[in-house]
Amino acid sequence: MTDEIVIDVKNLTKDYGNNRGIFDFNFQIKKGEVVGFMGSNGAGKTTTIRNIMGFLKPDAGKITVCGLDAWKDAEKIKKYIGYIPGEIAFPDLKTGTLFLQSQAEFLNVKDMSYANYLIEKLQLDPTANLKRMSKGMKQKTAVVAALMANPDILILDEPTTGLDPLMRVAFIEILEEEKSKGKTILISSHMYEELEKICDRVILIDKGKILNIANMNEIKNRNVVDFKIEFNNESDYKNFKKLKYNVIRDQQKYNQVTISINKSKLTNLFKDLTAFDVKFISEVKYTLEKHFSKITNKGGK
Amino acid sequence: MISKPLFKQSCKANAGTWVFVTAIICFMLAILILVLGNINVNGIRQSMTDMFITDAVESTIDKQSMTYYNLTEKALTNYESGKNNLTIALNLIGEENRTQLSMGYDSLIQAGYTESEAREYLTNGKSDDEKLLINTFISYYIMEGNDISENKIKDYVLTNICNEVYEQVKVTEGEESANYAKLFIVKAINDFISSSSDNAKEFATMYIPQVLKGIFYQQFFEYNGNTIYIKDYYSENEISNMSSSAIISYRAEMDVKEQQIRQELMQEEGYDSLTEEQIELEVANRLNKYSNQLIANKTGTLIEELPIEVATALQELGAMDIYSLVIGSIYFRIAGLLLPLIYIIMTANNLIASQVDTGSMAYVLSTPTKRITVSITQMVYLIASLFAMFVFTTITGLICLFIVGSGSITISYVDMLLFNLGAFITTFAISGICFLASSWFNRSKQSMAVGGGISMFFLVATILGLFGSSVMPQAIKIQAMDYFNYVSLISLYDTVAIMDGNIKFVWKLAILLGVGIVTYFISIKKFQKKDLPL
Repeated sequence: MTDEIVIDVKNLTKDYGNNRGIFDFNFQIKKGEVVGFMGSNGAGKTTTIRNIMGFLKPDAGKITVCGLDAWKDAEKIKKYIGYIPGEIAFPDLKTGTLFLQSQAEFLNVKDMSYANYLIEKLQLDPTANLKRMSKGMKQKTAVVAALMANPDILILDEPTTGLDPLMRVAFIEILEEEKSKGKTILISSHMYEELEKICDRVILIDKGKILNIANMNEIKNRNVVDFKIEFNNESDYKNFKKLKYNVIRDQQKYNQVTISINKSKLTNLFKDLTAFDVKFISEVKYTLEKHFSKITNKGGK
Repeated sequence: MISKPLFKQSCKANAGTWVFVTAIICFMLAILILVLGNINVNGIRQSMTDMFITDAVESTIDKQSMTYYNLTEKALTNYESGKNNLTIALNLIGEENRTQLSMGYDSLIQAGYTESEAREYLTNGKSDDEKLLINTFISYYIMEGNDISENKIKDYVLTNICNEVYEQVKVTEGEESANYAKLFIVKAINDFISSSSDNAKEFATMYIPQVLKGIFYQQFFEYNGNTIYIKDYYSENEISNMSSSAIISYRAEMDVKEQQIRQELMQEEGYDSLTEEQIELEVANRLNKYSNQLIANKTGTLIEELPIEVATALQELGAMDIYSLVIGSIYFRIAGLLLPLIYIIMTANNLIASQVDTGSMAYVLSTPTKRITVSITQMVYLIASLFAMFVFTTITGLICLFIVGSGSITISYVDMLLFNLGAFITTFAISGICFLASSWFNRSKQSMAVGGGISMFFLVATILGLFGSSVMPQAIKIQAMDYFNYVSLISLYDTVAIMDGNIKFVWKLAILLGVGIVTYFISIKKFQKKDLPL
């Protein structure tokens, strides 16, 4: 990852009225970075992506992609972008093969070897009739179409919807491969696990506003760990609580506590625990979902 | 400016509809031309025309026969009686008196008297009968001198009668006809003299048909802008027979009427005080009036007897050009336009709005393809496909015209080319409107509703307007429906002007061309600027 900024969104506003739309978006995506858009339906993920693609004209603000204005030079920025639209509808062509050939012509792609590799990887049968394809098949075809020109930037609007869990894994693998090649990826989803896996940063959008931009590094490598500890008898439970650990959740009914502890103090914890009759101890993982729910709860208050 | 893969895509996506529509409109045109060209669609029309023409010819023959019979019969009768009366009068005066009168008249004229003064002087103090005799003689003397041989008398009477005929005809028919009538009568009287007949009526009955058949056979007249030769319709014998029967029936009616008039006269007051001559004069007068009426009645054509509106309607129907109506106004402006319009509505929508609505346009615009390139490519496809469509109908039309031959069909090859060119420009203009709707709206149903709605409105207005247009015969025309023509763009495609060779169709097509150019231009501008939900 370099510091070169590939996508720069400044004060982007697209107002559809009635508080719908997106308002004053600001974020930057660096070269080689994988950024996720997180948000419920109607939050503004697709609108943002359409603005970046130059399909919509911003009401205010400016988007530059590789130094080019996304609206004015819409066709120029497409040289660097591979795009999977949120709604999959193909042109009126007979088979997937014809469609991919046509896309190759649009993209001026002569060498189909990478496309064929993708087809194999996704186990796609492109000779099938485009209109009779299942949603998953269509999605795979769209993935191939977006990636076959080997673009520097990938903009993917909910690319995994319709894929079965196995294919989702295959797709994530492909993305990781692209990431390792230094591609910049912008991916929207409403599934935390997907974004957790590949993203460097995740932008949380709700009701047209950016609530938080989470750095996955910080979430994955926190110096604080949460443990859930249950004791076999009540006296141990009470005695443990007397030690000055940071209890974040207390369930007396089960003789259970959840504590938050700095990683450097882990040895101390285990030393202390040897004195008690512990039923079980487990780490409570800090996920993106937790992180965001914390933020939205705060926001809600 | 044109994206090759997009053009290919559009071709593949819309080829089915295009082939279907093109095949059907070519088939329709072929059937129309071949069927219309090979069966006699003008059968009823032709028989109507024939009926009007034969009616006109027959009434002309009847009228002329009766008129000439009447004229000739009177002239011959007058000639007979005139000759007899003159001979009697000259003999009554006696040779001595004639010599005295002629010398007296000559010396009076030499002494400077005018003709009327001389007559006044010579008849002074004479009885009325004597005055009449003297005047008759002087008139004769001025013309023929003292010679009272039979030939001279014949000449004198002949000349007088001919002059009478001339004056009489000149009043009603003009100088030319009068001169002709005069010559005709001279010949008739000479023929009468040289014939063995001594009955004027019998002679005229025989004589007129014989003379007229030769004249009529060569005659022609104008009917609805066409020159009609009577010889194309009747042989000389037929003309002669028609003439004879017209004269015979005329004579019979006149005889009956004469009896009637005499009886009426006897019933009238003061009949007893009338002299024989006065009675004859009165009878002749009344008969003469009746004769004119009779000739007019007998010779009125069928068309003249109808109310004027009906007559015009029938004549129009006869003069109507079925081919230009069916091919020009019905096929090219309505029937043959329907399917191309449906093609336009569907295709224009498919090319832009439908792709934006479903989102498949995203695949085109996520490649380095400019929006203007997309617009122009789709526009070129739409226009080119329409052009190709009409190239096929043109070829079909020309081949079919060639097969049926130019004889029976009034549409020329040039007309066929112009019809197709006009149809292409019309569809170009309408496709512009549909393309604009397609570029304007993001929803297929809106684009279809607006583009299709406007196009179909034009077509329906043209269908309704047809009933008020000038090509509809008066009999079924509804004038008020002409208003529909003012609200339909298709009215600017003036097939009637093309058929008539009227150059005004050019500027009308130029307007259509303008409509197309403007709507396509706005379409491209709009698509460049608008938000696309892709």
